[in-house]
Amino acid sequence: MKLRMDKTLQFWVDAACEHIKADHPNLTKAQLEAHTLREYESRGNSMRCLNKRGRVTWKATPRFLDMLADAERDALDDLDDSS
Amino acid sequence: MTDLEGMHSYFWLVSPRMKMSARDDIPYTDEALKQDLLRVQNAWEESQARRERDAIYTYLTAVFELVAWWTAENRALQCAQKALQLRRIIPSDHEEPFAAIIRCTADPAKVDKRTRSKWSRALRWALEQKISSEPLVRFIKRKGGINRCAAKFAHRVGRFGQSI
Repeated sequence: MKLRMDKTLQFWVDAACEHIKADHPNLTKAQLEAHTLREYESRGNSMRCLNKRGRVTWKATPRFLDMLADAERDALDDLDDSS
Repeated sequence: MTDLEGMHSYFWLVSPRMKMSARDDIPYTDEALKQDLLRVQNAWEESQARRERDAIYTYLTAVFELVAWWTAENRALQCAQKALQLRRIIPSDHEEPFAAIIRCTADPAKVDKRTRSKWSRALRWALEQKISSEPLVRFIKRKGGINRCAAKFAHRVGRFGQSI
């Protein structure tokens, strides 16, 4: 079953799947995605919600978005420091 | 372009050598439920920290969104009972999911039984009447506010017809 998720979450789920897939060649993309979402949800990084059509979908949590914003700020600060 | 290799390892989420199961379903675990409750509780604290008149909608939206997807999957009662159990709160008779989540996440010193019941009725009215694409705050305001929505729900079920 195709999992519906927002673009930000999809980006990070894809990145995580790409990172781990070599160690689990027998697992399908769907199984890797499901594993990643299970982990993300239990850590408070992803959440389920209803989309505009009333279907259950996945999105990045506010906490995860804050973490990403912090990481981006840190990266920009590092860039400033190094230049 | 995001430099993935440069990102903190936290973002990689799991060790590649972690034991993984060959399944593509995603059960809703107690840990996931705890995270959802924590998020709603954060929304409560955020709404209390703000002074605007509409700040409470931040919290009500968080409650609504959680119960809405539970309802869509036919698991609202079961999840609400589990939430009360996780918070070590004894369920009241006929406690419905919105009231249960409010009990789990709002400060009981600020939200008494009457307010909880009113919010719960307003949210149940929204769950019945609102289309998914309309934000909760817009719907409630368009319908005359929280009190009016609560009253409409009470009128529909009949004040003496069933427990609300």
